[in-house]
Amino acid sequence: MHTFELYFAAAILAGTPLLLAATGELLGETVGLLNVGIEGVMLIGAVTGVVVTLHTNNAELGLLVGALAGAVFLLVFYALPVVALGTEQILPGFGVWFVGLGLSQLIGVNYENTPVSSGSTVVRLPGIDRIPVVKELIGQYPWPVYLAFVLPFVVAWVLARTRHGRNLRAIGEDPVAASAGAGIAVRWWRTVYVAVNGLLGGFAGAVLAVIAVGEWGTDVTAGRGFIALAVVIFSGWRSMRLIVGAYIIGALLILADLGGALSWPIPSEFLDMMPYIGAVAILTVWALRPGRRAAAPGSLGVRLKYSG
Amino acid sequence: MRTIDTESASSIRERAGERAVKLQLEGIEKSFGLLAAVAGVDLDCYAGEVHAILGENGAGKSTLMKIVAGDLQPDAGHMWLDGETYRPASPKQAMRRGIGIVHQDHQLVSRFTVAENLFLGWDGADRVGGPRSLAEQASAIVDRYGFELDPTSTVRDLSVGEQQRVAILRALVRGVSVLILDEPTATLTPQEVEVLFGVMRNLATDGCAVLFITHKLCEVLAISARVTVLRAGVRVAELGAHECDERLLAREMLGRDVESPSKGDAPPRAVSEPILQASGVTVRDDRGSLAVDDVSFEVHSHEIVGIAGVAGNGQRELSEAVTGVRRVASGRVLVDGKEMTGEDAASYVRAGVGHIPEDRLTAGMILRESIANNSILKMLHVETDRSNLTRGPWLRRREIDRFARQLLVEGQVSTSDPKVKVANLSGGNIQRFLVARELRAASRLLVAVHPTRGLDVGAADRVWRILLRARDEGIAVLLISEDLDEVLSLSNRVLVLSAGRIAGELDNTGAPPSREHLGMLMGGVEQEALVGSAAALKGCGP
Repeated sequence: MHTFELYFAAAILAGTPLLLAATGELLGETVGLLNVGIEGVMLIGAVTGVVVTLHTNNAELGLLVGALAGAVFLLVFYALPVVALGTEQILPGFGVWFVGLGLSQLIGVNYENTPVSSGSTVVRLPGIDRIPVVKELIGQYPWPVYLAFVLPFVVAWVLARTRHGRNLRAIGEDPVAASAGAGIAVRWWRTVYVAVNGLLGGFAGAVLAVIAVGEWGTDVTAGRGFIALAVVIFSGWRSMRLIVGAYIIGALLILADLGGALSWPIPSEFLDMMPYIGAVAILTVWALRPGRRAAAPGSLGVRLKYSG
Repeated sequence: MRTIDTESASSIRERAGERAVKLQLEGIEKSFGLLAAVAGVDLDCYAGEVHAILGENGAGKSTLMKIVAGDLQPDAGHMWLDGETYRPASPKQAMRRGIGIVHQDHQLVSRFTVAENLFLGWDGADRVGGPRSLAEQASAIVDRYGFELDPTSTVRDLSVGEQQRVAILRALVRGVSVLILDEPTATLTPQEVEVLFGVMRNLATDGCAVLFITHKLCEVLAISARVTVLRAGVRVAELGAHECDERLLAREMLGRDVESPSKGDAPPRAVSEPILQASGVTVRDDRGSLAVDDVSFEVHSHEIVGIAGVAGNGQRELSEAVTGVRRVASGRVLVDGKEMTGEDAASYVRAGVGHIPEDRLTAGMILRESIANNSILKMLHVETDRSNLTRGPWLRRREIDRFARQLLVEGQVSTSDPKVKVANLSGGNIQRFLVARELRAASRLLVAVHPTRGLDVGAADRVWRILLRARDEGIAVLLISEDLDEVLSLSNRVLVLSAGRIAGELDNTGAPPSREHLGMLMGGVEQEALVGSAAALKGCGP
């Protein structure tokens, strides 16, 4: 069953950018900021990552610069209006998407479909890389895959069990009480976590383009930023559930490749549709589960005036 | 008790004389648009003293204190703390300098636990720690100050009074040197007020400066060494508490004399008939646990029945049960002899029941709508008003405006324009407008829940007079309030609600029952256990 191992590994790789972007978005939403423009951030990260990698022949540097570009991009187009000027959150989010879409095409116009020759460092888990089958399933991925897998656990621990995490949750629940009542620097931490959201979103885009796809192409993300948004909702704002959602969608994303390899009598266009149908399906199922809705941060997406 | 308090206050004052000024304000000004909320206020607050800030709603007390706490930036003026320039840019900076504030609206995160709220945003809290260690540390603090609180309960599920205790504790946890209390006693039993005053005295003895905002004159005299009286954003007087009495303070605060309302003579029982009859009423709260447990009582025409008790003892659920907002789990409710059990709120309106809800801003009014639209919210259920205000599916705007103007006159609201949004009215005006509307609906019974909470003496006085007039016109009034003074000065009978049960029923037509007796009932001591106890203490108030 060599096909299964390959499919499994490909699914994990496809789910990794989703997981990274969703983790960033979850942190942003924890402090009450709904950013619907993850797609734009990922595109900026993707094009920057590919361009830097092509010029320096260094994929790690490409990933790093892609992440930083995402952070700067989101700070300018999202934190500035929403946090500094106090606008509502949805339109700036769409602005991030539109600007990201256009700007990434502009930057990438001369680099389209140029394959990235150098890959990222593959980490072989000591011990596990000797066990057959298991080795192929979980033992040898580029390092961002392991990072994406570990991050949700770290986030869960920080949010649930540390002073800092408690403060962050308070900002998303009730920014006025957090600021005036508890003296938390709401604006500062919101700005910081917009940057973190951008960092992870840009990194996710760079991982997608540099590692998973291996080249830049217009709209290479194909809606993955929106799927990441759905994965956050599906998780019920509990970061460890992001892992489940991201990998399920990851498996659906490469269904067309599997179908082609096994010569399924199903049109590949139909299989390409699956991740989006899957996203809608899991959101529907989630919405039908009783008592889940209360999990969202109390002030998520709420525009308000606050001091501090 | 009064004399003891004055003594301790004067001893605090003597000690304060030896100490340096802790907090000094000079020429503080703050405007919102054209409105000057604070117009040049000076204040000297000494370490080791309780300093009362007295004033009507809108006098600028809260604005001034928000400036001190770093919530607002002053337009002009200077502040010094311990002789050094003090100009906090944020609440965080204020807290770092040792200035803690307990807001009127508490500013707690409602879905967090008590323990989480206590340590929230505090640099002294453990960097890492799960819910259990948090709760352990919190219960140690709760015990130290003698508050009754479960650190693991969620703030949202607590009563208003309990939430306030969390907010006070949160400031104490941070080791404040200046503690600002914004109307802290409004929701406490007399015993709890004594506990709080004890805490305030201890803090003062430890060298802390306590700024105490209140509109209860007797409390000013009981606890504070000095009083700053604000009126319309200006300091009109700074007095030593020993050199003033309630009458003087009231005059300074309002700029005119007020008399406390008198319930007058109770009407003879023979002419009164039962309007509201509740028998064996049991009600569950939002979480499904028993909030009102087998309660039976009657409210007759021509009488006000007061329900006293600390918030969270079933008052909200009971008031909702007898107005159709909440379903009773068992028992019967009769209005005017008519079976109303299980009917909805609209049916109660049709039966002539008015309801002044606990949370007037969210349950009583649609703030973003006009006065005119708010005036008819309920009236469309009343047949006579409906036929007058509507024609088929259409609203008759001119009639509605006229109706709204009538309510504005009846409620003595400061505007006469029905197009004004309710959100633009002051708290006192909103409440009087609401009372006027509910009196329209209340042809038989008026259920008034905390009708004067957050109102100053002048505004409360007007509401009280409206309630008394309603009673004299034969309407049965059920008054639910945490303010014992209010309950005692208005009610003909007083029921004490504790843990969802009626702990005692007291006649209030003759000499008022002792406050200690009431307080113990509110604290859950059964009436029988108190018979014969020498309840000699009588506190402030009427």
